[in-house]
Formats: sequence, C-alpha cells, structure tokens
Amino acid sequence: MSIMMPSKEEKEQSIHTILELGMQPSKTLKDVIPVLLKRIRIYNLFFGIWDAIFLAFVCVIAFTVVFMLPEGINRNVRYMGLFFISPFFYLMLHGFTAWKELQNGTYEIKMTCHYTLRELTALRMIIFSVFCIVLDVILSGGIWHFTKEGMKLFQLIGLSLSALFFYGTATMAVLRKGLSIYGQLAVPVIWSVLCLVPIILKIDMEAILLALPNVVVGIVFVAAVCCYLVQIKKYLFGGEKGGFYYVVS
Amino acid sequence: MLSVNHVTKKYGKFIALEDITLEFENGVYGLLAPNGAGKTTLMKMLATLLFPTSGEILWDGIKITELGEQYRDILGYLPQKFGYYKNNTPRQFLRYLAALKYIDVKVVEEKIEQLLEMVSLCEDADKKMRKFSGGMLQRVGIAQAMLNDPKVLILDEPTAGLDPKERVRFRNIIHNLAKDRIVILSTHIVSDIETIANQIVMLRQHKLLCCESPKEVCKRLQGKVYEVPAESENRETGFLLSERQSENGTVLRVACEEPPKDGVLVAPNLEDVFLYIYRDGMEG
Repeated sequence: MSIMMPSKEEKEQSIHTILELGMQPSKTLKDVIPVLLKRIRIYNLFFGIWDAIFLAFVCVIAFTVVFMLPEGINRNVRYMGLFFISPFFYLMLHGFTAWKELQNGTYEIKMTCHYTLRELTALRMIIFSVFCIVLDVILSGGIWHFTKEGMKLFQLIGLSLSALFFYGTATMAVLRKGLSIYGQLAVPVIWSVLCLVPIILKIDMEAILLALPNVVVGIVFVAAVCCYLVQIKKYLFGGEKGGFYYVVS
Repeated sequence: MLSVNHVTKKYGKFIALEDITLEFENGVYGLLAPNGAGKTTLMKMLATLLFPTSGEILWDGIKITELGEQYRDILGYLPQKFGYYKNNTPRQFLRYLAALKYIDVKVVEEKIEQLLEMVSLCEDADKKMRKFSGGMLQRVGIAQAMLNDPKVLILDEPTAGLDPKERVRFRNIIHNLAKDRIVILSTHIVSDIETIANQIVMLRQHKLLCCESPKEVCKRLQGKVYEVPAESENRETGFLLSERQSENGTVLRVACEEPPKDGVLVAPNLEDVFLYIYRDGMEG
C-alpha cells in the first residue's frame, strides 16, 4: 500500500500556517506605550495622586534649597547632590504615589481592571522619568553656572541623567522581582551611600569626572537609557504574578 | 461557566485552601465560613489577585490567567476594604475606573447615570466621598463593580459594617443583579445570604465542606434541632445553638441526636447549621 505524502508546496504551506498562528508579533514599548497613553489618558494616570506628586516636588525643592544652592557649598558636594537629587525625585514620586495607593486601598480594584496597576505603574514611571529629566537639566544648568571653571554642561547633564536611569533600572528590577518592602528600600539606601562616600572620604570627584572623555559619558548615558527601557519592558510585559507583588511596587 | 478545579493555595507551609473544586453558573453563591477559613483567599483567586499554588480556575474551559484582560473585562470585584479617593465624587471616581476598564467613552456617562440610579446615589453623585457613610460607600463599590456589566461579580464581605436598613437595601440590589450573571458573595453573617443565595458554599478547616442550596444545607440538621425551656432539667443536653424569649420564658435552641426531655423538634435554619458546623474546635 502506498501512502500519499504531502507535496513540497503543502509542507511549506503547513509550516507557514503554523508559524503564523504560533508566533505572536513581539510587543514593543514604541507600539504599546502610545496606545496605552491614548486609552488611559494622562489625567487618569495621575488621578487621585496629585497631592503625592506635589509632595515629591516640595521635598526636592527643599533638598535643593538646603544642600545645593547656598553659597560656599563645596563643589564636590554640589556634584554629588546633583547625582543624588534626580533619583531622589524619582524615588519621592514613586514612593509617595505607591504609599497613597496603599493608604487608600485602591490597588485591589485597579488590579482587576482591563488596564491594571502594573500598566499604570509602568506608564507613571516613564512620565516620572520625564519629570526628572526636566529637573535634572535645570539643575545641571544651575550647577554649571555656579562652577563655570569646573565640569562642562554636557558632562553634568550626561552623568546626572545616567545616574537617574541607572537608579530607575534598579528600581524597576526590584519591582519586577517582587521583593519585600526591605528589598525595595535597598535601592535608595545603596544609592545614598554611594553618593555620601565621596563626600565623607573627601574624594575629589571633580577631578575624576573631568578626566572622563565625552565619548565615555555618552556611552554610559546610552547604556543607562537602554537598561532602563529594557526593565520597563520586562515589567510591563512580564505577566501577572498575583498577590501583592505589584501592589506594593 | 466558572470552574475551580482542585485548587490549593499555600503561603509557605501554611495551607490556606486545600483541593477546592467548584462550579459556578448564573445565580447567587454565598460563601459562608468563619473568619480565617480561606474565604478571602478564594475570592482573591477568583478575582485574579492571587493565583493557586496548584490546580486551576477556568472560565468557559480556559484558564483565567491565560485569558488575562479578557477575563478581567467580564469581572466585577468589590474588595472587603473598598478603596476610594476621599476628595473625589462618585461620578469622578466611576469615570476614572471606566477609563481603566476600557469602557467606550460614548456610553460611559449614560452607564454611570444608570448605575448611580440603581444604587440610589443620584442626589449624592457630585458630593465628595469623604462625607459618605459606610453604606453609601458600599453602594459606590457596587456601582464600580458593575461598570463593565460583568458576568462574574465577586463581593467580599459586602455587608460588613452596614446598618440593618442598608443591609436590606444591599440584598435587594444583589438579588436584582443576579438574574443573568454569577454573583459570589462571601460573608460570615448568615442572614445576609439566607434569603438571596441559590447555593451556599461552606468551607471548613480550609477545605470545601459543601456547595448546596440553603434547603439542602438545612437538611444536614433535620431532626436534630430542638427547643427546650431554659428551666428544663435537660438544659445541658446537646449543643446550644441560641436562645430566644417566648411567652413562657427563655427557650434554648439545641442540636442533639436524641430528643431531650421537654424538647420540641423544630425545623433547622441556616444559622443553626452554621453554628453547629463551626462549633468550637471545628472552625476554619
């Protein structure tokens, strides 16, 4: 008995069908974020948490006025303050909004909506990083103005934004892993220590940073942005793990 | 149809729920168990807030975790502690949640108006929620859960903290909602579900005890519940369920296998069964 074997065309058609049905188009941030923003709308993204954002602004302004603006502040302190403040602002925005959600108990309902708290958090983090970039550029300009013979504006902006995005990367990684509140606090604590060490040990950061070629600053900045976007993507498309995993986050 | 297949939920070594198998069809399901028996864990798993350690939850044969937003689109959930923003009005809050539920903007306003009317909050729709009573907040909670006209409505202890009048109003709302959807209601207050639930789901020691109609549940104590005068010599006989005042003085309601002296056999009610099943040492 002879068995009818499929022709080459039939085989190729079958492979094509399997691939078409089996391989879903990969989601990209570039495609998904604009759609999410359009559907959820910026106003709703910050619904009920404007007071938390205002509080974050107040904290950052207070920090700037106390530690960075007064005359006679050591240049080294100003530089480290600059690298600290942008992530600090990011931390305040994220921390206060998460705290507000927890206090109000609104997170559970949001977790059962079409667009969950995970999507809201990812979008908020992106917008927060835009707020931080604006702040960073303004402050870098200010520091550059005060210390004209020191670092160049490009270096200040490049390095402080790199600091912001590396900090953001660490924060998103911790959120994604669903670590406990202590695990989440580890990121700001480690960051604070890293910023304080050069001040306490009186390391001349200006000399070290001035020695960095512009190319290196550029590469570090691009790497930081890429790491941040990768973490946002993993967080957004990482799937639901349930529990308070992404509530506390 | 919503199916729970051999679901177990563990928190470390602690087993919150063990091997639960249930099937839900349209109607009201009252999830009845004492505090700590696993009611909220089960509700949260049905609402995709928690996921089973083992077993699966299916909607029309597909895992709810795989369905993701498709399942959440047919889900309405009112948590035990309804969270809201005090400085917003019910209308603003419902508009916000409508956006998160991705409800067509063309129908949102009309839908909100209908829901506010359903929960009798039209007059307070533009007042800040910080001034609302517990009952009013629960009604906002019901309205938000109904925004997407869900096929599965999960209400976790919705009557806790409500006064008797609000409780009756709440029961009436639920009764009307249950005609064409699955309503799962958890409570430890028997009277809340006695009149409206088609099926009673009882949990004991983190396992499923039964899923039966209230009538069938009551049959479990058929022929075992007696009323005995408090002065009777046999007042210690059986398990004391409750007591009430009658024209002839205090009457004790007891459950026992053998008829006590002076005892009058009475029909058991759901509260009797609840008290008997969850007597000391047999709780959740």
